[in-house]
Amino acid sequence: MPHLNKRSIFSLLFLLAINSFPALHALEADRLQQIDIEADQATFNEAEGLTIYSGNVILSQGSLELKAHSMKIRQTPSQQLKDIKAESASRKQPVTMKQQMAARDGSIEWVNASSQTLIYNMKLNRLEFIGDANIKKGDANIQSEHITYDATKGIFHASNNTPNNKGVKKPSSRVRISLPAQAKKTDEPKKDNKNNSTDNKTSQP
Amino acid sequence: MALLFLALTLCAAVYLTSKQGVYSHDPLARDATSAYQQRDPVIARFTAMKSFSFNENGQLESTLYSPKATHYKSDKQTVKHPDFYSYEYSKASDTHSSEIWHIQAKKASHDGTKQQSVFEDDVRALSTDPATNAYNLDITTPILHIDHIQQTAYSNDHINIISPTGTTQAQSILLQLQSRTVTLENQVKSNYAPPQ
Repeated sequence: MPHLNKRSIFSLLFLLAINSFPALHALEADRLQQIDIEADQATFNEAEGLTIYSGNVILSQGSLELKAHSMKIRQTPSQQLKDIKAESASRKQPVTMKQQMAARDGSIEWVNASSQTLIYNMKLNRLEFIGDANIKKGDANIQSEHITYDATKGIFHASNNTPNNKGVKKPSSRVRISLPAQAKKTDEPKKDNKNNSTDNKTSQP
Repeated sequence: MALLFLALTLCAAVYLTSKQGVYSHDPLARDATSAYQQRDPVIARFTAMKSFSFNENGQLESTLYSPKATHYKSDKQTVKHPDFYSYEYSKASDTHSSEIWHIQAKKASHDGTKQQSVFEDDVRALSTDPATNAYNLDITTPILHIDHIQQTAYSNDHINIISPTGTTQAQSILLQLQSRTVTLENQVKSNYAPPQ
């Protein structure tokens, strides 16, 4: 058996915790919907293919709704939407997102998220929550400095370091994952590690 | 900004010799669409007009075509069905221009002293991508004010924009003609087609 150092153990614990977060997939139908944006102001720079919306910006696409102080939309040279960067006005007014997502059992649930910055890479179908990131579904919750959600695979990845503007990493903070206690659904006696409450369970890679 | 909208009278002189322009002095010109035109003596009427403006480097900055124009004593003009073209150059010494804006309307008035124009009725501004020569933005609005010195255009009326990625509506627009930057204000609503 390979030797596990402290860092490896923490990483393993973290992966176990994050895998316990209910598996979710953004509704595929949302991706096929038209994107609507409302804002107080917009500036479109044709030469750069960049549009900046500002002031009470609301983006909706199917069940997805993003609210932010400003949103930058970049286009590819072939006039396709490339990505959306939503930013908050202040720490008290973060970017918020809500979307209906499908769980493994087929049920549809609302997921609410917030962060200081949100980057939606449309080509990769990936959402990146940066700064005070918080994702909540029902009573389950992930808090971290940086959470990435792969909407195609339904995978969340949380880390506690976020590169700032100069590319220097901020001091570490902690990833917090809260999972609600669940009642057993079967009568079969089995070891039930996942269904125990893990409120305020923290891990640090 | 030098040689902005080379006085229409100069262009007019050229056209009068070749295009059957008609001189008249008609204080109550029928074409007049505003108060100043009612009082302003008509200097000349043209059945065709083409005016040019050049920047400080002597490069063609814009052209204005109209099948019918009236020039007034106060250096103001009214034009029917104007076609305005704006050009850009990659550098000051460049002689190769690229058309970046084409603005048309049912009518327009131009103040030669202030170097400002007002395009009215079914105004349509089309921006062209110099790299591909394809139209990028198709902007429609009831009225558009153009400042030829600042190289800007604005409207505080309803705006509709069609672009390759979708449509946008707003209640106010400011165009920076040379940098091809569009600023929209007041109830901005955009619809984008989903990414392919």
